[in-house]
Amino acid sequence: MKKFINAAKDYVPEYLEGIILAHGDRLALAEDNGRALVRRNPVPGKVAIVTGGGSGHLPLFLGYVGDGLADACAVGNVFASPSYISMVSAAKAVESGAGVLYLFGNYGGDRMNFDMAAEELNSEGVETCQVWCTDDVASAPKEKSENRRGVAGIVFVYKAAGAAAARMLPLAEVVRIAKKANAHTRSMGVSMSACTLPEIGKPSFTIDEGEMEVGMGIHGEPGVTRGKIMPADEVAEILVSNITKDMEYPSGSRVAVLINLLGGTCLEEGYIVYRKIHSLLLALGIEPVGVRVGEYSTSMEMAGVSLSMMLLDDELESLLFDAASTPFVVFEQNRG
Amino acid sequence: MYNSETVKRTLRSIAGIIAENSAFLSELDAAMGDGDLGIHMYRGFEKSCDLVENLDESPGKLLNRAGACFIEEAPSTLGTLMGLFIRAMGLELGDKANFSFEDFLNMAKRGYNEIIKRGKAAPGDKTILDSLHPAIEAMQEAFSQGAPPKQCIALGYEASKDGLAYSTGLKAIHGRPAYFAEKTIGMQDGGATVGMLLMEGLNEVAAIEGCDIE
Repeated sequence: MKKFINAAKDYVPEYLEGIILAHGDRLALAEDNGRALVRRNPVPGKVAIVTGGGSGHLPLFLGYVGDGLADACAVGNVFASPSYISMVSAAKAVESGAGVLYLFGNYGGDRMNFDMAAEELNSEGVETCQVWCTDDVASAPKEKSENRRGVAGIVFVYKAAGAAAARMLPLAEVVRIAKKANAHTRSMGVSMSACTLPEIGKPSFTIDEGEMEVGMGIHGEPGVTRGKIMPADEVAEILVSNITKDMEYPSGSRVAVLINLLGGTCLEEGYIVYRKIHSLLLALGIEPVGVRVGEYSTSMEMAGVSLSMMLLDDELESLLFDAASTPFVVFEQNRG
Repeated sequence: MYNSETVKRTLRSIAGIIAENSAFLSELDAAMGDGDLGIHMYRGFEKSCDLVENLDESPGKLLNRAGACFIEEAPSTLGTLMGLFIRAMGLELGDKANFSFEDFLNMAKRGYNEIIKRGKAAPGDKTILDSLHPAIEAMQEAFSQGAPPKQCIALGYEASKDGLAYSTGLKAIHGRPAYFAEKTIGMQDGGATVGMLLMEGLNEVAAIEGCDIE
């Protein structure tokens, strides 16, 4: 293991400390909970969007806390759900009477804990709804799409729901939009190497030199196939074909496109893959809009790339193009 | 009758056994999960033991505090379920200063039901339930037939080992192991192993000469 760390057990508290020191003008930890990160400038009367998940995926999840996206985030240990107690603390620190939307990825531990947290908030009179993202097409067949995991596509759901909340829409509307954004979003990824949990010190699985795994999850969950490393153009074809056969994209569709790098792959490679994806989409009569290439949902030092696409309608496109910003990500007005 | 000291001693015994098996639990988990099960279980039991050791509270309250501490310190899926299990046992006991073996069986059932309610799993799903369920059944049955607690616990421990062995042949359908589907058949489940280790810790306390469990 080669990591810039001190004691492995201090991995989470120390990176959180660094984030607060660097971005303390915008972010803070909740007074009663060191695992609940909140924005410093909550908007009174706005629906509070609260997310959460394990560490090891930065900028996911806490990197989306800011203006026009999420308001708070419960922070778990590496690859583990936060406790429901920190989820409750995160929500209480930012909610201001308009209700809470818990927005997160579809993983067992997160589902269970957010469920308990929502139950507790509702029992205390804080109206709380939950939406979990299920964009990873490789994680379950179409007939069982409700079992799919959430991966980088959650960024689009944050954006749409965050913009809806920033427009001061009521909770029911923010929930409707979050669900619609998730239903319109698909992701698919390819990995080329494993990652190491700091406290374990060795990779929990391996991908041989010269091999790649199609459809691997962001914690190393098994994918669809493992085989020889392919040229970037062929990887692009696999990503596009798996997504476009899972969902109808009528000719003339506009889609928001996100090329996500998993932590151990450089930006140049991301653009090499995008180059082919762009031409494949055009050939299918699909117009890419607001294209983003970069690290949006990582798996520590895993080498890999994923494609996320959100099929746009007028409502989603308008929400996508509202300005939003955090210390980690910026969406420009009218440009995405 | 048992009291706060029994609770502390039992928690410490289980913590010791979990510590010994921590690396093994992580290995089991790495084969079909992300390999951090041992770390979470170790941290959860250590921290909750450390917390209650110096508290002067009723046994129910101790379990309550230990469970809440476990959830905070080890918030993985199984860590949360273990914390809820311990907390529910405390809730069942309420303010009682002393408790009987029958109370203990009711506590165990309450905790077990809490795992089912939150984890949304059932026996046969290749989870911790597969070792806990037969253990509780065996203890209850032996107790109903008049066996002394020490013997009930020994039988429960044996049943948990049988349950664990049985679950190894099952296919996982919950959590990350479920992504490996058929491949998990024949693999030993980390959660079911933890359930067996709980019984091992309980049995160790019960088997100690002069211990007040009987």
